[in-house]
Amino acid sequence: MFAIQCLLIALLTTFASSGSAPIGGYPLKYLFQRPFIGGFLCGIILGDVQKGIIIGCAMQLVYIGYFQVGGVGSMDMGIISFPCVALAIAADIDTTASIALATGLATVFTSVDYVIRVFTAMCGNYMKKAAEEGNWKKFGWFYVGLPTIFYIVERGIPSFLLIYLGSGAVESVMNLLPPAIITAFSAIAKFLPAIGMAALMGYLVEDIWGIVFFLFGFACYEYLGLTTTGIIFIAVIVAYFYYRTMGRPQPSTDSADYEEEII
Amino acid sequence: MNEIRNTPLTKKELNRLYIRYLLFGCPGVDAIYIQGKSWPWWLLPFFRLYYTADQVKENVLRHFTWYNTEPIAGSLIFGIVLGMEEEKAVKRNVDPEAIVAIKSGLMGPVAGIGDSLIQATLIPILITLTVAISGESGSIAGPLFYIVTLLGLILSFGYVLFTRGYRLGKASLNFFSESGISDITKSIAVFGLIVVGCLSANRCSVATKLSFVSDGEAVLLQDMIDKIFPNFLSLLIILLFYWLMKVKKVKMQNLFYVTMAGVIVLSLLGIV
Repeated sequence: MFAIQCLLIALLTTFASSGSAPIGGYPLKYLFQRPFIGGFLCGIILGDVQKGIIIGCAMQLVYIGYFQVGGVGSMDMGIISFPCVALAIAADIDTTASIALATGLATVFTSVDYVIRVFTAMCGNYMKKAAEEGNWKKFGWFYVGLPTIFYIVERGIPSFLLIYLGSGAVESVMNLLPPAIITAFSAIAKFLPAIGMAALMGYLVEDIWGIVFFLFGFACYEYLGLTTTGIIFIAVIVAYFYYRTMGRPQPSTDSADYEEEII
Repeated sequence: MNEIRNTPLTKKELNRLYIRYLLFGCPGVDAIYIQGKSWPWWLLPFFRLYYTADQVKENVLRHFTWYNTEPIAGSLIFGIVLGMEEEKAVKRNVDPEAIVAIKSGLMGPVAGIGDSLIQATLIPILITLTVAISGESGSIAGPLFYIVTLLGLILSFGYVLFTRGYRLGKASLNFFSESGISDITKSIAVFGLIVVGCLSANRCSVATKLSFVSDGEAVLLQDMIDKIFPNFLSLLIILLFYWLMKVKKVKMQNLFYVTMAGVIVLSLLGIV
């Protein structure tokens, strides 16, 4: 019975992948990467919905600001939302201990996710080959099927083992790792968001002056303490003025004179 | 064999394509195309309606490009591209290059807006409300509220963007050639940049563990930096990554692996 429950939760974890769910896409991703939704669903599976939601909400408060920007995140929220919350419900560990475990696992899985992206990249090439053959069934299989299998191996099986064997087993595995490696993983988690931010910046900056706007936003947070919601109002106003002042002829007569001189 | 058709898509076909877009939104995000290999899959039924078997292959292969955005706001791009593809299929007068240019030109601003409006604003507000409803009592009202409100808002937002985009895309020939659109995307990029700057400061926390001895006391270098410019190292790292990707054309996935390896080394040396 417990094995079946673990299997169901492992299946949900597969769908809560941080790339995107095999079926359901981003709407499902936005639902499944929330620990209280994990608590709700795991609670239904394990037979204690109320406890699931309370634990889920407590975990959610810790990770409220964690989401992927530019497709890069520092925490694998799917791993927190399903196996970690389920473990807290089933094994009755207190919230502080489960948050410590969840943070460690989520950081490790973020790194594992980038290794999986190398394998999913193969699917792209297979899709191209299938398209050249005109074999659309194969095409769909490489689009949805094969990545799902990768996710089952990457996330489903580990989370099944995690819940089935319990936190004791996980801790003993984690203890085998030298503490320096654990520190290194948390250091990686601090660096990875920078790549997503830099990528987003790369799409947005057209000339060197674009960086000034980026610095402006950065300084607003660090010096003025604006929240990311508050900055939206300022950004809208600046963008509006930028739009209004762009592409208009220069009001000063100097530029006209200058052009004549060139001619 | 399909007959060549020259009528526009019906409402029902459009809705089917949008549902396909939502349901099969980028499984298997990968290191080469990120979300790009989803495009041929999303558009496959469309191509099969309008082209012969050989042309379908050709069109599908044309859509394997690098693509990365926030897919709910990205409904706009899907709409525009679908509109342009339909014009191309019916009137045969749209340059395929223009379609690729639209995809890669809009994905940045759209990602900036989607990430800042949906992920950084809407979802945290909904999370706060949910925790307020169920944090203590554990009632199922909270999660149900989150599910209904979130899906209601993002699906209707996405659908409106999709239908608007589709109409825009069909009118694209005279619309996107005007300079007006580039003024708008540039302004949106300014909006995106300010928000991304703020998000970066919020989310990146690169810190050093180096310290030096001054007057017999160990002083953390990080404390010194924070007094002058808080979080300065994160800013430097982001600008370095930006320079590597934009100017040095380092691929994003290579940057991942180099960063992961480099940080492990730096961490073992006790620098970060």
